[in-house]
Amino acid sequence: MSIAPPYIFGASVTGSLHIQGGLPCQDAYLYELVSDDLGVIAVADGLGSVPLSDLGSRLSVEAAVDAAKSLLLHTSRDGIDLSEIPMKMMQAARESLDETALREGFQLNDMATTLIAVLFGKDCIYTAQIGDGAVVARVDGSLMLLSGPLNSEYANEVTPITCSSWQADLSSAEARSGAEFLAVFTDGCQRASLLKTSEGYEPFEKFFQPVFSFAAEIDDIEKGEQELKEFLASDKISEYSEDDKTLVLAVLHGQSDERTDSL
Amino acid sequence: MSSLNEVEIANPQHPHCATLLLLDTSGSMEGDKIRQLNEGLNFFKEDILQDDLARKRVDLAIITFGEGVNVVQNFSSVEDVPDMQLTAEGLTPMGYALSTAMDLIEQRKNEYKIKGVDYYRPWLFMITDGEPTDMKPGDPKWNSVVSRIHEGESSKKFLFFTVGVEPANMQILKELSPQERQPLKLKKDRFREMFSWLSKSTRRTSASKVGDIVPLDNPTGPEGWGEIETA
Repeated sequence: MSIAPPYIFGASVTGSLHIQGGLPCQDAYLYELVSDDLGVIAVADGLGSVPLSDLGSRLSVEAAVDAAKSLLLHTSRDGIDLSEIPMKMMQAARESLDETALREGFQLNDMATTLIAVLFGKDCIYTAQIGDGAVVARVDGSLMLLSGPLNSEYANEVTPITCSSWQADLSSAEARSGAEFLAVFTDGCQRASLLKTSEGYEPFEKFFQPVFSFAAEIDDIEKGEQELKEFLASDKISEYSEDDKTLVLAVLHGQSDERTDSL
Repeated sequence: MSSLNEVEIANPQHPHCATLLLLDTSGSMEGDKIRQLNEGLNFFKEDILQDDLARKRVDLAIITFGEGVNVVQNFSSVEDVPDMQLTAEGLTPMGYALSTAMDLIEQRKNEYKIKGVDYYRPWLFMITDGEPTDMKPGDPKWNSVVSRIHEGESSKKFLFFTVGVEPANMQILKELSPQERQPLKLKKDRFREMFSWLSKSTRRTSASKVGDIVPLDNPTGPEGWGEIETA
């Protein structure tokens, strides 16, 4: 007996290099189904080279999801533009880091992290992103890279949210309707899930097809998260990335009877 | 059986870390210096091979300049690089050697791009005990080589490191080097320490994750192998 959509679940695992070095998991994620047709997801990857990045990623996802919730719960539906919410989630995350730095006497950059914010509704998905990682959706049976890493030549370069010019690298995207599945993930999952082509990144069908099938099949969120965690920690996934890995999956309304013809 | 068992990986390969060693094998390196260079080089290889991640990620190329400019080893995994016994003879065609090295790096990066392989910023590491005999400051070849190094460094095409071994002309090396990274002078008989530093730095880079700024040990500390000439 599977769960009625929409629902969200996810998992993070600590990368092998972090385990070896005694470092904590610097990825963080948080999600919330705000009502039966609105959900928000935030995923962050703290930079390995700074001392407080696990704090930075955790504070960022908390502030982002809190901001979205308070906007969605305390504003009337007519008075709110859903498309603006992911950007407001990013702003709230940055403000939270600024405040923490000031209050605790931390260097802002010591909490450097990436952040992806997503809001989905019955017939829309909006995203905002700084740094790497990606958002992939299945819309009407086809995979779409809604938001992805900026094209940087080298494997170890990224702009974090704590960078003074972060807004220049901030990107946003939207998809209108018909989305059946969503995957939001950090760069630790990138090599497994995205193909790099001369035109940029492209979602890899043989990764997402089984992952989304799995998401549709689960009958319990907790067990689903446990299984997802084991999958992320498996040799298959960690062989080519020793980094922390986070994958959050959402099964959406779009996967309704009227769309089965396109599957 | 969960659908997750059917997952396939989009890029079943490691990101690559290209390191090019540009080595002076001119006649003046004869004796102790070439012997220590060979020992250091072979130590470097062994040290990389000890590291599980670096072994899979580091691509090594070696170019010598002395009796001509020779690509003695094109980019390949360190496992496939044979033990080196370089000999010292000839002049110091450093200009042509540098152009060849920068060409080889460009070519390697293109191969990575075509294959969709992720890669780190390549390192060009030059060791010399002399000064170029095929160009001099101000001549067209010099201008073209120097501007290509400076442009390559500032547009992040590669990282350029130079080490001068006594009696290298440090002033010339300084002019060749990008402002951000001045040449270092090798302390006497510290080849092995230098290669150990290089191996450590390469290993750290090849294990860095996206977003990392890789901290390198300071080679000019009291225990280090190099010094900066301030004259």
